[in-house]
Amino acid sequence: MVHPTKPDFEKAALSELPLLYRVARRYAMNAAEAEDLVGQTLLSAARAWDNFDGRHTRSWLITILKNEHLKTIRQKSSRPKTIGFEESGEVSEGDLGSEIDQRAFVEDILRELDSLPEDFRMAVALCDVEQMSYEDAAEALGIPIGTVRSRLFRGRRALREKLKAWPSDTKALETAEVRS
Amino acid sequence: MRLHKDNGSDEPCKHMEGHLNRVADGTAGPLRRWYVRAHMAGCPMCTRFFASLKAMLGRLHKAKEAEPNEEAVHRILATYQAATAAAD
Repeated sequence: MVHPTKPDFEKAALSELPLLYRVARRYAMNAAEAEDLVGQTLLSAARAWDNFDGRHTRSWLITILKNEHLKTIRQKSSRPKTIGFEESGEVSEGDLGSEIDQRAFVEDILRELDSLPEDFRMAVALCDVEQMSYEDAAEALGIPIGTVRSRLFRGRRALREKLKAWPSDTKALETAEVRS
Repeated sequence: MRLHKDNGSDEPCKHMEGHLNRVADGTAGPLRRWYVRAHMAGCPMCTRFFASLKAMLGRLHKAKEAEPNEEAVHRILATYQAATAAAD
């Protein structure tokens, strides 16, 4: 049954474009491939839209993106294991101080995230970067919620281990606010 | 809750890691939050683990704000619109 508030495709999909691109970056780990992946996802989603019930659009789109990614892998039989250094060269010379530090820091943490095995990487990307619920992430990835939690916690542990090696991490950890 | 001897590490007690994760990401209910807070009161290792986990989650949230760049989104949109126009 079609959800009564199901929007039209362009409105629904295009509002999720930034999210799809970020998730695609975690899958493809290369800006050009990520753009292609999102483009393919939009085309596939547009074709399937009439058969979609309109519930959990975000998870539905991510599922399509994941399937397109798997299709690409099958076609290529391999995927890049590292992010190109030139990928980090998007900061203009006019940017100063903290902005550069912030950008570099974000790129560093994403690079560390991208070095995790895909199962862990995607759980962290959806739940911690995109802040999706366990339930939505489970639906998007096509796995049980318990598996999402397991991958998420193990992914966080692995990422934390990597971040421990950062000299600048110490200060951040010392000043981290502890509250629940 | 018993006191845990500080061994200087930030490795959590094995049985606490899942609870600490749930509290750190905000998915824990009140009972779990109370339990974690009570445990951390006597366990410096779990307290340090929790602090580093919270700091890392904060950084990951910031990573969301940094991506994507608008140019990429515009290119994707243009490609999609060109493809659909060609199909029509």
